[in-house]
Amino acid sequence: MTENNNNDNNGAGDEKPERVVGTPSASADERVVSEASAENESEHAGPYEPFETHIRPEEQQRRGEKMASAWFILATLAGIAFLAAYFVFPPNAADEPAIADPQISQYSNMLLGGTLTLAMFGIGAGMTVWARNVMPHYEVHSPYDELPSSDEEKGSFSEFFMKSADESGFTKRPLMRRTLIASMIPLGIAPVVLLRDLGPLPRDTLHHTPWENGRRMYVEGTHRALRAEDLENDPNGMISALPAIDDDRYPHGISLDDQAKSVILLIKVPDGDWKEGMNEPVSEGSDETHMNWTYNGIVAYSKICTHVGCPAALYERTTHRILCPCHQSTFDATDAAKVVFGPAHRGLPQLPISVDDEGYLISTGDFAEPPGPTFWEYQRGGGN
Amino acid sequence: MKWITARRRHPLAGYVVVILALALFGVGYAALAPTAEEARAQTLSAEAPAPDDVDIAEGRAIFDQTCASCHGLDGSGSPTGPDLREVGSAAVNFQVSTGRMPSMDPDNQMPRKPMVMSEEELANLIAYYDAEIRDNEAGADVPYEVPASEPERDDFEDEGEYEAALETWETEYDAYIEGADDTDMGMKLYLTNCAHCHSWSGGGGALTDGRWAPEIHDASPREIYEAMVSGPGAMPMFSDGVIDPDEKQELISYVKTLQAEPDAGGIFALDRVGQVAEGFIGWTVGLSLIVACAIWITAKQRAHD
Repeated sequence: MTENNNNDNNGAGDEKPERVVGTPSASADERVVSEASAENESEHAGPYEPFETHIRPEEQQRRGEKMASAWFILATLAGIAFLAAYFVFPPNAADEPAIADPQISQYSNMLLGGTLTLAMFGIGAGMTVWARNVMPHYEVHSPYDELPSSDEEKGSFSEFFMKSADESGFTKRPLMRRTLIASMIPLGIAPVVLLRDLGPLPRDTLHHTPWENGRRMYVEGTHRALRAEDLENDPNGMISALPAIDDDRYPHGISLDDQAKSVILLIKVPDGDWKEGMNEPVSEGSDETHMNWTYNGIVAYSKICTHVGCPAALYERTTHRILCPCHQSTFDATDAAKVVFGPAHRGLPQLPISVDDEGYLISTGDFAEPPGPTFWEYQRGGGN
Repeated sequence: MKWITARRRHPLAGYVVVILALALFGVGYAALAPTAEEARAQTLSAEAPAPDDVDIAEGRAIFDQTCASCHGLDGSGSPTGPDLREVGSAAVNFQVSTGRMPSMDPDNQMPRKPMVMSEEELANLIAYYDAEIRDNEAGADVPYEVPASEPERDDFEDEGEYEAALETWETEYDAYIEGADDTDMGMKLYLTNCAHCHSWSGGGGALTDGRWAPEIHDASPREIYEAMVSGPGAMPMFSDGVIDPDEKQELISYVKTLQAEPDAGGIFALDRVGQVAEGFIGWTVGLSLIVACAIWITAKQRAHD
């Protein structure tokens, strides 16, 4: 579009013979430009000086006008099509939300998005063509200002500032100054109090889950309690489980908060595959080892990754690795779920399990440390 | 070179470069992306084959020829192949009907392929396995009550026979899928136990050490069931105790129903590759287009410079 400007300038010159008569033919770019400018001077009325303004050749302007109009017409049509698309696939046809039908919403999304894109792009493209082919081209020189203020200005300002400070008594009246500062301190602390209003303090709720001694476990998604025999005979079984709670207040029997904290992964590990880490105590100074907390090869770990709390349930039975799909934290299920790779800071907390008289799997207590993303003071408080 | 030198300052050169880069990106992706194996297993029989219909001697011949080199003549395994005595016939049926076994390359994970044996040969092999190799009743049986893959025309001598088999299969398949009445439970079971590896849409995903969880769209309900009870490769087992047969039916029905849903991607569908990958592609293509627009808008007007 732009490579022909010189030729167009010549062409424009040819088109208006009354201006070209008597002038030498163009032999160099600069001369063409300056001549064109000089000729335009007489009829020029733009915001910039005539010698800075290069009016586009008429032929280019006409071409630009056509092109820009084509874009604008396209944008108009697309805008009308947008409105049409809205009514062709209405959000509420036949008394039911048609948008809920994936097929309809697919057409609707495609048409609404596509036509709107086309309409906006058309306007933008048309305006770009307009600017580049119809509007005159300016060549404006404007030197930068000196950036730093002069020493004189700076000196006079600081003098003025200090004079005002003296005059106001701020430096001369210490009592008033100090009380003013004192009055501002509570206001500085005020946001802290307001932040407290965001909700009740978590207290020790992060340290406790509904798991307790004797609590049975449901297969997640069902309300069927798991028996040890369901899992202990599979050489490489695995299942997600929740505490067996049937609270009528919640559609799934358990509040989402509790569900998020207490979901566990039950894994059956073949006998010879356990590693050393299982013989370490579950927490410092505890008599129980990780191995004591398993039952017949079944081990229960929190399913919530200790990094940022994604459900880590990508379990490979061949390597016994538990992966978190979000950031690839990897835990070793045969080694007390210690971190073997990734950004997680500590292993998955283990849940102590056993069976009750009827053969159902139960927890014999709560996690030794809070499940879920690690937070400040996660090791402190709560207590078990 | 001369050709390029002459044209590289052409005002359209910028767009050409962007378009070429986009094309290279798209074609390169298509070339590198794993293609779904267009394979279908052809398990037909809805019931366990009667003892009279199978030939254990032929099953032994098949085993000795195609399986024993890695798994040993008695199925006890070798450095290149695992012990088969406790895996159960569901595992045998799964591995062979999905074409993963016999494997040409025991060191690598096998992709899904067309089955190399005929239905009859597979039935004989399973009969031999059950009679001679399997330890008592170890492992899971083939779930014959769960529908297998759609019958294929090539397996039948005449059209009528094929159509009758197809009709039977369709009835069974529909009955199985529609027999599930609590797909919500199926969804939860799928999302909490399967989706981590096989992705929420069943498209599969990466595991460690170059292994991958395969996509499960081509798998028949019976193959999905067998995969759950036998735990092929790195997949853990979900026995009938952990997820009972009715719950498995809900789960399978959910997977198959999800698959039948129209893909909201329209002409830009990306095979339900998942939100993150879709976002990445949208971002890359969108940004390239924005860059192209920026080049166009700010292209230098050389005539006056």
